Amino acid sequence: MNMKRIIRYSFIMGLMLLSASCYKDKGNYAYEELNKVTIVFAHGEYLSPRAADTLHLEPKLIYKGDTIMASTVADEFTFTWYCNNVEIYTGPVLDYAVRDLTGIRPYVKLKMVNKKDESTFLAGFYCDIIPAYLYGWVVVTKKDNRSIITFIDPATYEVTADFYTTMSGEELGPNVVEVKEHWMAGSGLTNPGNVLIVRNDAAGNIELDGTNLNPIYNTNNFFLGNTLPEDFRPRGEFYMWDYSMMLDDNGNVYTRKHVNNAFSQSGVYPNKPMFIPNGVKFDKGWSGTYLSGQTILYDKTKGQLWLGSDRGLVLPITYMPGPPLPPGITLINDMDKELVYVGKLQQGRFTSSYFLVFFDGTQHYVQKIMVIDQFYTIQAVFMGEAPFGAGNAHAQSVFCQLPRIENYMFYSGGSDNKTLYLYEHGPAISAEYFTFDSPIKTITQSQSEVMGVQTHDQLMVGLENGDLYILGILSDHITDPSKRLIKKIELNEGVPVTTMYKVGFGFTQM
Amino acid sequence: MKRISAIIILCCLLYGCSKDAVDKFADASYILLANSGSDTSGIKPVEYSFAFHPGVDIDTVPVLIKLMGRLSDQDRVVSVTVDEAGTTAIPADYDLPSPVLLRAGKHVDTIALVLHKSDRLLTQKFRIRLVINENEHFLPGPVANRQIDITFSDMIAKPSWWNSVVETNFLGAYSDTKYRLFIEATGIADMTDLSETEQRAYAIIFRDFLARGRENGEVYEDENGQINVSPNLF
Repeated sequence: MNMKRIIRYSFIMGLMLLSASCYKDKGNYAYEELNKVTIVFAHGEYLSPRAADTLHLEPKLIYKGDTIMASTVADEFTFTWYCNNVEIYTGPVLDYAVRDLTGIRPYVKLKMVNKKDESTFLAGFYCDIIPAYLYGWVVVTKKDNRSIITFIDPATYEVTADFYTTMSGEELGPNVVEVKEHWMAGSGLTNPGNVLIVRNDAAGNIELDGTNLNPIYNTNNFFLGNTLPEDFRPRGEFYMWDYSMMLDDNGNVYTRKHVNNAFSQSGVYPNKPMFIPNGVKFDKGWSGTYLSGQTILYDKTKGQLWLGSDRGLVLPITYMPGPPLPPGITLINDMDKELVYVGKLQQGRFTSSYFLVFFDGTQHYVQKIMVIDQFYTIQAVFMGEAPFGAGNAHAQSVFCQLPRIENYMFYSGGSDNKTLYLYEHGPAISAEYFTFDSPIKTITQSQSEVMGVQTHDQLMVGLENGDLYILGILSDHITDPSKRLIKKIELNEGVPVTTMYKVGFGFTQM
Repeated sequence: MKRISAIIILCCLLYGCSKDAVDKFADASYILLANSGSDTSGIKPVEYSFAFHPGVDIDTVPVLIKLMGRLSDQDRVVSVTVDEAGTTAIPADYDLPSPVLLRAGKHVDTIALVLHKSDRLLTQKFRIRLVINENEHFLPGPVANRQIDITFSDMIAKPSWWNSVVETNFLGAYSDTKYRLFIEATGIADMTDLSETEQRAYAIIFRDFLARGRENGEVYEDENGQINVSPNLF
């Protein structure tokens, strides 16, 4: 092909292209206005439902300049809901059980399609599901020589009775003495605390997963060489930042350092008792506040208060030197009365104030101290002591100091120990709060979910006949007795032994 | 030449078919010293120190003997003697059972060699050499399993696990006296394969042992003064 032909053909092609551009456009330019829809979820991009909840969500739509509910345009749009891209529901109002959402952190998405023009709009949110057992009441009862542990939902009061035996296929045995929650200091405040079941028998303590309540550890396995101390039966176990302490019913203490304080169990206990000078043995122990790094120990024989410190030491507590102590008070290093209760005060992460309740056989006294750990010496600031409960508190009385509002302490007493009293430290007055038809065995308060919200709103009272009462303790409950009873639960699982309110995440302890 | 080579190779092959000196399935039975019931390698010497067994004045060192041959339904005497030339211990230091028996129906048995503690052992190690001899029941087994040296003492030395970490974090400076007390307190002499948390727990037991003893009037001192654990131990 010569050059002339190339030029000719190129010219023809160019001409054809030019003539094509003259082709008349017959397109439809009668556009309809496209109305954008903005989907708005009231809770934003994150939702924290409880696992037992059912989602009932109707989004708002910003459509044609108005804010309307989705159901009002059900004729115009199709609504399809997805969980992690799997269709789960159709319709403008999502009605779906949380437990049926799939994935670790489900992403729920709504797709709206305009039936007329097929324009599509999307919006979604993440579900941070609160496990069913993250927080709630935990009750241990004893029936037919069995310890039975029960979880009670704090909102619905749904009872999950005897869950340990159901889950593990094993018995707790007859000797559970305490149930408590503990957190891992180094694992972050958003981790749930685990549940520790202290059993006063050679089988050792059990730790349950704080999320699903499955048993995860037996603390007997954390003794040196997997060998238990001689004649060992736990009476208490206390977790601090870096150390744990075990108390047995021979009064011996065992301390261990946590290898990693992000783990709920780490490090081994020596399998021989810790040396405490002068043959001191401990009758009882109480955990200090979360992150206080304190464990209070009581030597009943010598009438002394000791501190298990977060450095693995066990040291006697003495009063801080200063002006003379008021005459006639109960000396914590030389008690002339029995220490029957220690109520910690939780007024911040590291606080270390306690109410000590003494009983001399006829009269109760309550003393407030602050314990200051100075590494090799432990000193207490004396803040006051007052008698209380005259004529109503007695040897069967049980106590419950509100940890965050120090003015209030509840105790049982009266005829057959059937009456609940409220003692106010400030004015030093007691008043009847509620009277039951059976002796009171346990009193527990629910703690604040987040500081300032739901603070001490409820009290659980466990009765000898197996009934549980949830009482309100907010200001309107205190002022109006008719409002105090919130719920009566006929548990029928035996006599309450120990109860607690499981608060869940560590940040609730701040 | 090729023929000669073939004959030599054939001879070598035939030599390989010569009868094994130790034939356990023949009529003869062999007895040998063994490290364990399943181990037939050469016997290893045994070292024992009373220092690792606090409070023990007489202790038994088990020496295994093993049969190569047919089991018998009767007890058979094994000839085991002390080799005077290779032994530095005196007869008062030990008891060798007599007679030594391989009991009926057993292919492995134990010679219970009893050692006696004495002050002599505090400063010197002594050796007992036991030798298997031929008798009417047994021939001695392989040469490497015919004699065993048992060295014993009441001496102690710094173990390799007592390193700078253990010294700094747990037990403090080493001394023989402290090591003996540590063994007495904890019942263990070797922390080689223990984790740090286990080492710490043993050190705590030792710390409390010292404190408890002192409360009862005991005095614990060594060349460094008062015996204590590391001040860093908590």
